[in-house]
Amino acid sequence: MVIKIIAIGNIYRRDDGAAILAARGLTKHHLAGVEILEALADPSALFAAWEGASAVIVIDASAPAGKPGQISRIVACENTLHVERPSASTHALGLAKTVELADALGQLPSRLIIYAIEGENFDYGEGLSAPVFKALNQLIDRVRTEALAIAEEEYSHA
Amino acid sequence: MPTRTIKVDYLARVEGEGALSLRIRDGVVTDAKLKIFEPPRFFESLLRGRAFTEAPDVTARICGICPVAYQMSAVHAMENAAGICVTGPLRDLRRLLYCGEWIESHALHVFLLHAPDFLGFDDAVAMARDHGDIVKTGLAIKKAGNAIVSLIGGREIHPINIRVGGFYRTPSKNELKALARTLEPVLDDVVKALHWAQTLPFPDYEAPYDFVSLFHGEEYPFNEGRIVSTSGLDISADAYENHFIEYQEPHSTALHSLIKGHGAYLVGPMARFHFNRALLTPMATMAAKEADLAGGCVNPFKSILIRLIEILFALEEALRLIDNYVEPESPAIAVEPKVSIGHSATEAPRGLLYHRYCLDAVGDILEAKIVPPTSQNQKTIENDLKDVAQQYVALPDEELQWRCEQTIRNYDPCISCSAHFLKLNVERQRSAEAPHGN
Repeated sequence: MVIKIIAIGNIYRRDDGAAILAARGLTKHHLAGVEILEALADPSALFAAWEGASAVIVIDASAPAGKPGQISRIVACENTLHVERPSASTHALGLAKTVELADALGQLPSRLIIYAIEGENFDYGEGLSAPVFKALNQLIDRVRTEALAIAEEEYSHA
Repeated sequence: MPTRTIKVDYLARVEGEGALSLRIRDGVVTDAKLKIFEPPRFFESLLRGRAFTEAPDVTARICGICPVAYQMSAVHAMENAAGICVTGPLRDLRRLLYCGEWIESHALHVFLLHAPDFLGFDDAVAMARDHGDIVKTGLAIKKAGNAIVSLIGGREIHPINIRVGGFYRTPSKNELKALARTLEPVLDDVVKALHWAQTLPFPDYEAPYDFVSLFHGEEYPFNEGRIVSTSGLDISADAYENHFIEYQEPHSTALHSLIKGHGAYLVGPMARFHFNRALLTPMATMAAKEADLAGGCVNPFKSILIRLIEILFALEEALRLIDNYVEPESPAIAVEPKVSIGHSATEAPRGLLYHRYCLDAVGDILEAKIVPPTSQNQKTIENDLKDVAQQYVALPDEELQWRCEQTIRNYDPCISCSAHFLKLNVERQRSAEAPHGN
């Protein structure tokens, strides 16, 4: 049983780095039985990152939708991730397509939970927008609580 | 009969934003344009005033899938300017790094971008539902390439371990042995994928290409060799600008290229294969024979086979390089800049990538010129589009559009490299109708 937290993002594109900063914050909590990783939103990178994991929590920043800093929790096997407009880049498929591809290939972890924090500013540079910065500790706390709950559940069944 | 127009908001499975317009009058394709409107990215200007040592890291940012190519052309051009040549294990490590990039870039294109065209799927996700095994194979192959780039380059995307004169850190023999153990099983995966790919339905289309690639004579080229063409060119990289001209077309933010006195030309896997197939590794040579390509290939739709053969070559070459590897005494050799001009051409996955830099006495860049493969292929892509559209003009619009998109993807174009979005606009007219639209 391995529980993994995988963060996706780019700290040099403002709020896109929120998940990475959350993962680094989570590392300081030394969560027993939980591995924390940073990965690209690309099939080979994500498949490799969640390989061997019984449960995976992915953290990512989501596109602006009017409520910056809002945290959404999505259970991937129960929901379809919405793609507003497919990426024009072939360099990385993005999280939604990667999850869809993993599902088609039967390579989804048995438990995959996605935490998305809505971004406001994706410009070049470091530093989060004020509403995303304000929500960061809440994101860390929610992911930490869920990871520990999964760990307790999984190890109690071991 | 009214004018028939087909619009596609963007063509998926190419890198970057562009548009295609076809004009068909009385059943004759009169015009085909690959419109690239991705804004200019000014990398050549960004480099001015920067130190010569910064070029590999700055130019790597031109592309997320072929950063190694930009780094290799940059370091070789700087070393050319300084009058030095990197040899021995450092040279071999650069070939190994390039093997990794070819594997990951070709695997992405073959399995996730191009294969769905032949099987009638919108994308790799749809294809994965019916052909899961082949998509899994493709991802495993790509992972092997990523592993090479990650170890030698320091990370998978935009490697950080490349410097003028060599590397910042070189791997231990044991690290490479461990890498080899992950690569060996992938050889069989590629052979099986090649057998599968040979069963794909290839359109019957051939063209008299003027191929251009590096030719080394003793090895399948990555970083070294003379620039040769089917039309008789045989030059060193420093003569590139004497024979190739770039010019602007109003419909493209990427410059087009021609060979002076000859015209459009083709760079990339088909061109490399044309000149260098006798230098392929044993399994790759055998695979070319089995694919009935030992005599060459002028059917661009079969470029998917050639990319697979090049993946096989790159894996075998990587294993050979690892087997022969001796840890270097130093990760890099010293490079002293001087007032000079340096040139280099290397083989990016998509073809010849030319760099030229003018340096001052302390090695600051006064001028930079970068000619990526996709911009060089633009005119040939348009020629192919016109010919393919004409050959299939009787098809209904939807099927014609599909075939045209497939034709573009034969080239694995990286529009972002050359200057994203590909809109397709097919305009059919009868002679009594006035032209309009694009």
